[in-house]
Amino acid sequence: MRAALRPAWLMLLVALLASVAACSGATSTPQVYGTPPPTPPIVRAHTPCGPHTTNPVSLTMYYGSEKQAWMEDVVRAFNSAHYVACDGPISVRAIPIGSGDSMEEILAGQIQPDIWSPAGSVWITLLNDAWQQKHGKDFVGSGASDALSLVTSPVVIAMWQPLAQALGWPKKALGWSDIAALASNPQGWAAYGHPEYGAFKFGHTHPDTSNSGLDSVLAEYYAAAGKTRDLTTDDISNSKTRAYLAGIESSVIHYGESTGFFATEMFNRGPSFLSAAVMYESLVVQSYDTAEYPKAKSFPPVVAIYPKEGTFLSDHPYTIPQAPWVSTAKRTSAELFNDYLLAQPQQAKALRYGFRPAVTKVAPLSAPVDAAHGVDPAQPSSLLQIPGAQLIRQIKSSWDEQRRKVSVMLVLDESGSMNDSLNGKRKIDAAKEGLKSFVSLLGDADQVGLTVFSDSAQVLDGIAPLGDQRAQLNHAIDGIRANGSTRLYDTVAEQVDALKSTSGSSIKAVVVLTDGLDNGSHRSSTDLANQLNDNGANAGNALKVFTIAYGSDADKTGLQRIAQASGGDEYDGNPDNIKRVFLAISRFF
Amino acid sequence: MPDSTPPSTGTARRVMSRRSMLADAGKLAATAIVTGALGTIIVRAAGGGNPPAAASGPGTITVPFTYSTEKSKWLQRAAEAFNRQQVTFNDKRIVIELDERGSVDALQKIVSGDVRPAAWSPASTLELNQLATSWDATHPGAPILITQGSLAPRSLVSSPLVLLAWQDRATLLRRQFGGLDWQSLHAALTAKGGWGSIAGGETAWGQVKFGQTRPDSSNSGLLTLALLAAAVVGTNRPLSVADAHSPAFEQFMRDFEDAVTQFGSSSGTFTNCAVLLGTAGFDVVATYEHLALVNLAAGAPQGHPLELYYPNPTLLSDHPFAILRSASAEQAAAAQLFCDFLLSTDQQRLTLTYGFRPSSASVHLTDTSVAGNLFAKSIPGVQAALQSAIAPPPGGDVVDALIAEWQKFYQDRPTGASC
Repeated sequence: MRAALRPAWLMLLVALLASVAACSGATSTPQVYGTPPPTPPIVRAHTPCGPHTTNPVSLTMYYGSEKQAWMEDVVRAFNSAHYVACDGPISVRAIPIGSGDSMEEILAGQIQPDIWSPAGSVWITLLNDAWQQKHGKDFVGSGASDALSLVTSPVVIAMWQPLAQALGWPKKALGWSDIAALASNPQGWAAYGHPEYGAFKFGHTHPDTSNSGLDSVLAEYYAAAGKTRDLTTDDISNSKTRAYLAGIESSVIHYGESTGFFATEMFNRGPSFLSAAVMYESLVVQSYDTAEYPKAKSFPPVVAIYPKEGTFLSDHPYTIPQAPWVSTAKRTSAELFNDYLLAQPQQAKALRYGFRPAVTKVAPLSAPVDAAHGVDPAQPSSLLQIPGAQLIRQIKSSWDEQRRKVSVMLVLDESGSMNDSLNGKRKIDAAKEGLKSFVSLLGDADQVGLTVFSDSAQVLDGIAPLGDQRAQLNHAIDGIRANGSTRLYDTVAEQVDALKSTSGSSIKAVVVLTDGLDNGSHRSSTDLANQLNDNGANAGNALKVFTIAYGSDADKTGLQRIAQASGGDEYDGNPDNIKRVFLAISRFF
Repeated sequence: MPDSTPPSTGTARRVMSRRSMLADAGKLAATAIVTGALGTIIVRAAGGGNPPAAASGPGTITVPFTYSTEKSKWLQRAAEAFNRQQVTFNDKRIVIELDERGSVDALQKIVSGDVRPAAWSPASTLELNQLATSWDATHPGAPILITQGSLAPRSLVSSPLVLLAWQDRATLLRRQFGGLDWQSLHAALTAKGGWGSIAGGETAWGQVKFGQTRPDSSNSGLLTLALLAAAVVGTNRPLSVADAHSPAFEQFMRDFEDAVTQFGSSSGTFTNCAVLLGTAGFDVVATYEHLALVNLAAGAPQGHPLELYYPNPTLLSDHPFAILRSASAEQAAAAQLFCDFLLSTDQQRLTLTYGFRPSSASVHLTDTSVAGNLFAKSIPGVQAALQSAIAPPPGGDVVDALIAEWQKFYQDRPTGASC
C-alpha cells in the first residue's frame, strides 16, 4: 500500500521510534509541514518505502517544453505545499527541454533526471532502444504505471482561418494532400483567390529534437504512402514518396528546436510570415490569449486542421527512470508527484492551458478546447500507428535528404578581444570548435560560406555546396587568428546583400558570432534591422540572421534587434556552451 | 549540466535539520505514546500494504505478495481488511506486503531475483507454467513453486478473454462481413480501402483498427495470440510449437498485429486507454470480461456506446494464487491463511463488483443481494452462463514460441502512454 497518504506528523513519529532517547529532552513546538495530496484518481502501483528518514527529497524533472506554462504553474503550487511521501518534504526542479534533446543528453550521460516527461511516448521507445544497446536494459519500465499520460494534445496544422476557408474549411476535410498541393503550386495563395497572402509558407520543427517535428515527418510519410499503418522500407524510399516529401518541405521557411518558437513567430508576425505550421492543438487554443500574444488582435483567428489522413496524439508520459541515481526515497516521492499531477485541480488547470486532461473523469473535456478557440474536441477521427524504432531511424535519415536545404554564411568576429580567455578557455579557440561542430551537422547538399571580420571583412570561403568544400572550410576555420577592431554591422550587411542576390530555393541565413561592440562600421544596428525587416507578403521567406552574443561584452541589444527584425533568433554564447548554441541554430535548417 | 543529486546543503546542515525535526516530533510522539495510540496508528498508516519498518519485527510475519494489476482494486482492499483483522500465526501478526506488477514483468523479475515474493498471483496459469519451465532450465530438480498438497496453487477468480468494440462500428462490420468471429474480423482488418470501402464507413476513419496488449508483457495479449493460433489450426487438438512457427499462423497473426495502432503494456490500463482514445484509436480491442464490464457499466464514453462479445472458443484468465518454495514455513502458512481469506464468501462476493467470476461455488454470479454486482446489472451482451467453449491453456513451450514469433516482428513497437 502507499505511503503517500500518510500525514507528515506520522512520518515524524515513525522516525522517532528509531531514536526516542535522543529526543527525550525536546521542548520545541512540533513542526507540522505538508498536507497529504489528494488520492490518485486512477488505480496505480506504488513502490514500498525504504528506511524512513526525514531528509528533504529534491527531484529533478526534464519535460517537453510545450507544457511549460502548465508545469511552472503546478510545480510552484506543489513546492509550496511541502508534501511528504516516505521521507522529508519534496521539492521539484522542473526543466523544460525539447524531447529529442533530453533523450540525447540522457544517453550521453549529461543529465540524470529523476523524472522524465517527453511530449510523446515515441521517445520512450527510441530511448529504450538506444539504452538497451548501451546498458542491456530499458531506461523506462514497461509496467502499467511506468508511463502514465499527464495530458494529451493532438498534433494539428495550425492555419489562419481565412486561408483555411479558402481551402474549403470547415465543410471539407483537409489534410496533407492539400498542403502538398499548395506547396507545389507556384502561384501560392493567388491560386486560391488570396494573392495578398503571397507564397505558401509552412513550418514544422526538426524531427531530431522536437516531438511535433517527428510526428509531422512521420505523418507526411504515411500520407505519401496512402497508409495509416504498416509503413515499409519501400514506402519510405520509393521515388513517389520522396517527391511528395520534397514538395511539402520546399515550402518550409525554417525548421527549429521548439514548437513554442513557431507558435510565437506565427501568432506575433501574422500570415505574411507563416501561412501554417504543425503544432499542438493546445497552442491553437492559446493563440486566442491576447495577454500571451499581444499582436494576435491585428491578425485573423487561427484554426486547427486535423489532417484527414490521420494524426498523432502527443501524450506526455510521466516516467521515473530505472536508473541507479533514482533512490527509493526519490522514486516514492516522484510517484507522489505523479499522483498530484493527475489529481483534479492540476488536471483542471491543464485544461485552462488548452490541453486535454488525461483523467477525464475528474476534468471532463470542455472549454477552452472548443470551436470558439479554433479547435474541435470531436477530432481527430483517426490516429496513425507509431512505427518501431528502426523504421523511425530510416524515416529520419530519408527526411534529411528531402528537407529544404540551407545556404548559410557564417560570420565570425576575429577582433583582438577574441584572444581573451573566459572560464579558462580562449574565446577564439572555443568559437572555432563551435563553428566546426556546426559544419559537421550540415549535409553535403547544404551551401556554406565563411567570413571573418575585424578592422575589415574577408570572405574566406564563398557560399558553395558543402560536399565540395568541407575539408577546405575546416582548414580555413583552423587558420583564423584574432587581431584588430570590430567592424560588425557593415560586415553583416554586406553578407546579407550578397546572399540575397543569389538564386536557388534554399533557406537563406547568416549566422554571426561576435564578442564586442561595433567600433568599425558606418551602419548602426538599427540601420541593419531596418534593412532586414521585410513587410511584404512573403516575409517568412526572407533571409534570417542568427546572432550569438559571445561573452558579456557583446552588443546584446543590437544583436537581438537584427535577429528579431529578420525572423531569426538570438543566443548568448560563451566558450562553455558554444557547441550547444551552434547545435540549436543548426536545427533551424 | 544540472545535477540530480539533492542540493548541496552539506552534511552538517542536513544533520542539524533532521535533529531539529526529531526534536520537534518529540513532544507529539510522547503524547501519542501516553494515549497508547501509537501502535494502532502505525498499523493503520500501513494500510493494506507495505508497513513502515517499525511494524515488522520479531512479532510479525511479513508476507511479500506480488499480484497482477487487473486485480488491483480488489486486492488492495482485501489486503487492507486482512491486515486490519490482525490475524496471527504462531502468536505472530501477519502483515501482507503488496507488490503490484504485470504478470510478465513479475515473471522476469522473479527469475532474475529482483522481486522475491512469498506468494504470487499472476493473471493466469500460463505464467506459472512459464516460470516453472524457465526456473527448471537453470535449477533442475529444484522447483520454484509449491505445486502439491494443501499449499498448491488455487484459482482466486476467473475472467474470459472478450472483445470490446464501439457499437456503431461493430454493427457496420457485422453487416459487411457477416459476423465478428476471428475470420470476419480478419477480413475487416485487411479490407483494402479500410473504412472507406465498408458500407456506412468513412474514409477519414482510416483502416479498421485492432487493439491488444503486448504478449511479452501482458497476459491478455498472450491469450489473444493463443486464440489467433487456435483460429488457424482449429480446436480439435492442442496447440503445438510447430503451429506457432507455421507460415499460416504467421500471416494470420501479422494481419492482426499490423492493425494495432499502439500496443498496451497492461490489460487494465490499456482498456481504459482504448476507451479514452475513442473511435480515433481503436475499433475492436481484446481484453478481459471484467475490464469490459467495468467500462460498460460506466455508460457510453463521449456518447459512444460500447459493445461486448465473446470469441468462441475463448481462454480463461484464472488468477492462481501460488506459494513459492523460497518462502519460510511461517510465511507459507501465513500466505495460505491469506488465500483462505480471499476465497471466503465475503471476499468472493466482493469480486462480483469488479466483474470477476468468483472461484467459490457458494457465490452465485447474478446474486442481486451483492450491491454493485456487475453481473446483475443486465449489461447487454454479457453471457452469465458462458456460451463459448473454453480452450485448454497451451503449455509453457508453446507460449514461449508464440511470444518469440510475435517478437520477431513487433519487439521494437512502442506502447502508448497510460496504455
